[in-house]
Amino acid sequence: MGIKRVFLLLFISSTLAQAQYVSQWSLDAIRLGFDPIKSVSMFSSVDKHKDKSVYFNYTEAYLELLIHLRTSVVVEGGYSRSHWNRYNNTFLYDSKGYFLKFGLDFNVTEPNPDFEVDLGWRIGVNKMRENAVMQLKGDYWGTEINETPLNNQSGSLFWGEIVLDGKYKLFRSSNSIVLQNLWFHTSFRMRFKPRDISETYDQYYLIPGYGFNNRVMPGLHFTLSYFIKFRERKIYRIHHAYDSKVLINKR
Amino acid sequence: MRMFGNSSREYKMKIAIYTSMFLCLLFSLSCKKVKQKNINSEKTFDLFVLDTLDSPVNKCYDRVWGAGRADLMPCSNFAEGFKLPMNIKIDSSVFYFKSGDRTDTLTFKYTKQFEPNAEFEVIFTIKQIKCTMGNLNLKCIQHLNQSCNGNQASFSASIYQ
Repeated sequence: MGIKRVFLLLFISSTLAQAQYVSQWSLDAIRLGFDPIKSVSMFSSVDKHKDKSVYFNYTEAYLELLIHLRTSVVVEGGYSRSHWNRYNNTFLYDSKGYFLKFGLDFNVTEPNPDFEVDLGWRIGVNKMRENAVMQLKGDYWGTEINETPLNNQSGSLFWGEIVLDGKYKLFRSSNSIVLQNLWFHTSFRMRFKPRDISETYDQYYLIPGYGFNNRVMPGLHFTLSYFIKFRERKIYRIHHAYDSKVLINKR
Repeated sequence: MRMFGNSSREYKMKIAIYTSMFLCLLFSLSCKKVKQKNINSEKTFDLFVLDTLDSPVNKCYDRVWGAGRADLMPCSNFAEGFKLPMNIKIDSSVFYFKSGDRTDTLTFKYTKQFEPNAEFEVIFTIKQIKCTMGNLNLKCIQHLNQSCNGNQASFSASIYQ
């Protein structure tokens, strides 16, 4: 059998055999971004919207380290300040604090340079302060009560998140390198607290980075990110029978 | 410049992103302003005037007022009595009833607690009522802790004219 036939046979068998993509564990690229939708709220202070039932200032930064073809390490951090006007203007609550989330995203779609759908998880922790004022008025006696059941009370919480994240290259056909590297993420979150906080009327209404004080809290996140590539991402196809790696792509 | 490709997968992704953004916008718009209600947290104590047959009657004084405050309605309706607002700041309220040269005093002593319902409410528990006018109907006062502690329907007492 000639050497050409051997190569041809190897080529056909490797093409027909069930193949698997693998890549090396290395930091090839990062995505750096922020939440462009909720961050708009930072331009208007909560103090100007205390007549709304709920109002918040929220911003979140995003860092994704692409360390594998299908796996990314994600760090998210942000600031949130929330106001809740409750009980017909008789109870004004606000909380503010910083939060940090750490986790992994796993690409569950076939590797594609233009989009991916990830499943992931996060562990979140925050540092917060709460204030609450109960305001009552008495018309005839001309009296007012301003009680502060919470006066700059500090607290900290941690929680978990299950993440379903769609990431999409915004301008895939653009000639501009800058635009080509812009990605948009839409992320559905299911957050859960490991323990119930006592449901007193004056504590933990709005938890920075988590949301309302429910045991399970769904959420929707948007991220505009910029893809920065450090090196070519090497993608191999591995043949099961011989476990031989063949470099098939670079991106 | 094309924002998205044309494959069905990309189309679905585009739809998902726009739907999500629309839902987000809908949520932010649905966060309405709270109507600024001037809620008065003072509850009124209904004081009825009874005749000798224990029937409520209409009664007028020259003046009725709370200590240091403006005049209240000087006449009671037999069905509603005098409406006496309780002070939410301190644990007592003093009212004066002037008729000719005589001024009678009615003093309420109570405790307060705050409870969230539709709005935060002051729940009064009356501990003592003192008066210099006709005898008070003691039926209510004997059961203050059971029936006169903030239940508007039974938050009342009577005096004899």
